[in-house]
Amino acid sequence: MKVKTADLPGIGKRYSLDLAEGDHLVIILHQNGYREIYHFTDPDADEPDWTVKMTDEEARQIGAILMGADYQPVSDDRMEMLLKSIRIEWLQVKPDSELANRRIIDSQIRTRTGATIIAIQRGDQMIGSPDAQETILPGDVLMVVGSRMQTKGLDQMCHSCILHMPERGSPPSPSSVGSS
Amino acid sequence: MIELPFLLITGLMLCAFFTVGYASQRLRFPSVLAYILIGAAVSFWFAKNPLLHLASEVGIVLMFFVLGLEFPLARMVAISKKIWPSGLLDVLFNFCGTFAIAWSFGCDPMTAFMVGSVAYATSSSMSAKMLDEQKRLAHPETEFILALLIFEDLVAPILVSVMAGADVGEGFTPITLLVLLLKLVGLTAGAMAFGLYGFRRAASFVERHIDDDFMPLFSVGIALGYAGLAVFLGLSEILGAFLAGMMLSETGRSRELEHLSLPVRDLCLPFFFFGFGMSIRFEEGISDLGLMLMLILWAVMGKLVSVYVGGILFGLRPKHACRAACSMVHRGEFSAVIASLAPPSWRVFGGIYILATAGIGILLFGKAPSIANWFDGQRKRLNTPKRSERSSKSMIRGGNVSKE
Repeated sequence: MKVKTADLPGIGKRYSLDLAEGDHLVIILHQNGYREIYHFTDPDADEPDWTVKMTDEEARQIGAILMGADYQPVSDDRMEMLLKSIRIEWLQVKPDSELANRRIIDSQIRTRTGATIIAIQRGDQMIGSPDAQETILPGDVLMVVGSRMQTKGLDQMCHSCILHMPERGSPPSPSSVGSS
Repeated sequence: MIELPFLLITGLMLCAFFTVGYASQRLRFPSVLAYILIGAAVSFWFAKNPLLHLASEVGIVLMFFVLGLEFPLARMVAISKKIWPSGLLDVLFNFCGTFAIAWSFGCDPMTAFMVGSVAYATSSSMSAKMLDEQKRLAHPETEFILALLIFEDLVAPILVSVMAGADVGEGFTPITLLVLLLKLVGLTAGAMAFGLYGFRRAASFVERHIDDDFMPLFSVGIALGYAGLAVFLGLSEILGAFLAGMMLSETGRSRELEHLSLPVRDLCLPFFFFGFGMSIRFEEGISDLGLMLMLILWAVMGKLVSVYVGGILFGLRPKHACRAACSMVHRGEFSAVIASLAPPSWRVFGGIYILATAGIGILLFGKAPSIANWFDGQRKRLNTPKRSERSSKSMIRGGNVSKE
């Protein structure tokens, strides 16, 4: 499935995708947190067939349900294959890391390693899907996705060791941090 | 007349604005126009008060501050790179074109410049709202429309600055122009230096304190301060405010800072449009009806042509470019801001111009999809014979006929 994205300056971001059944969906993330889904049977139509609007909170819950947070229809061996190719790692940024005190965009993390930071844990604070303008501070714990090679590359940039690979996506406890 | 307490007047006005704002949302009528109309309607028995002046000034400054906040330098460059041919075409048609018309009708260059600036920019707030309400955010031309609006947002403060600068001196001489240019460059360079070397470093400070009660003071203070500095230099507060927003956006916390300033802006901005409406004295009449009609006609034609061609340059299909062109005729808040700087006799002119173009623009916006379909049908009908000729030729040559 190919997802096309476009910036809508002043409004938010737009994602358009074609589904296997032939439907065309456009998802709009408004800057004020609202999400909208437009459904088109004919992608060239002037007006969508229907639209749904949801709040930030509703969208997150719906997203989690769709992701299968509660019920996972994918068979176990298929899931394992997914896990083999894509992994989620928690990496701590050491003070001497080249990433420390630089913005994500300046470090060109995705270009150089291919891995993506999906969250940053900073003390008690959790920054979900951080902006590219975000500055990484020493001591931050990065939640990254990518293939084994990609996350390994990022790990070297962090000067840390791979902390652990949680099955249920829980952050590492502070005691395990830094034990090489 | 009985002297009413200051608080009572303020409270009543805010409540009235609330009612107008709510009603206009329900009726899907742009609130900007509603405020201007109400202002014009009550101008006979409403004395100017200092609050009105103060609040409208703050409202304008914060309006441009919030605009500036959305554009860190990198993003601005990225958008400008894609849109500049269409943007320049827009300037050429709608600013220069109007300037030429006004000049040929016997206006002096300064006045013609003002008229051109009033005519130039499409209303961003109305466009964004209507695109959203009419569920047209999914259309391929939406990106183009929004990018072009941003280009206009960048040009408008510069136009206003040139006007404000020339207003202080007696017209243009090469030296005043040079000084003005130097000040412009200085203020912009200052903002960039503050942004890149000051506020980018202060990102963690902003982050730590973003929820504290003193942060609105920080953002609004910098907005008003830099705008004031621009006024002090003889430039326009609008440019100063825009640059202030730009430099604070380098902290990477635009969204939060925007939320801090929005309540103040929303409190103050209605006062500006109301005040602008009040300053329109319809009884003074328009000096030159021919010019007025000509300009309104050009307002529609100029935008239609320039946006259509700009859309094609941007890579849109003709149908989508046509839809974009029909969606950008309405003028609004920028024209009001610029017209409010004009001498009183021209304000009636500005007011009528805005109301007329906004009215036509809203109608065209609603009809844009059907006009675009009709246009596409006509275009295809005209093109079909030629195309079949061409394809038959290429078939003879044995080339592949690509299906459109």
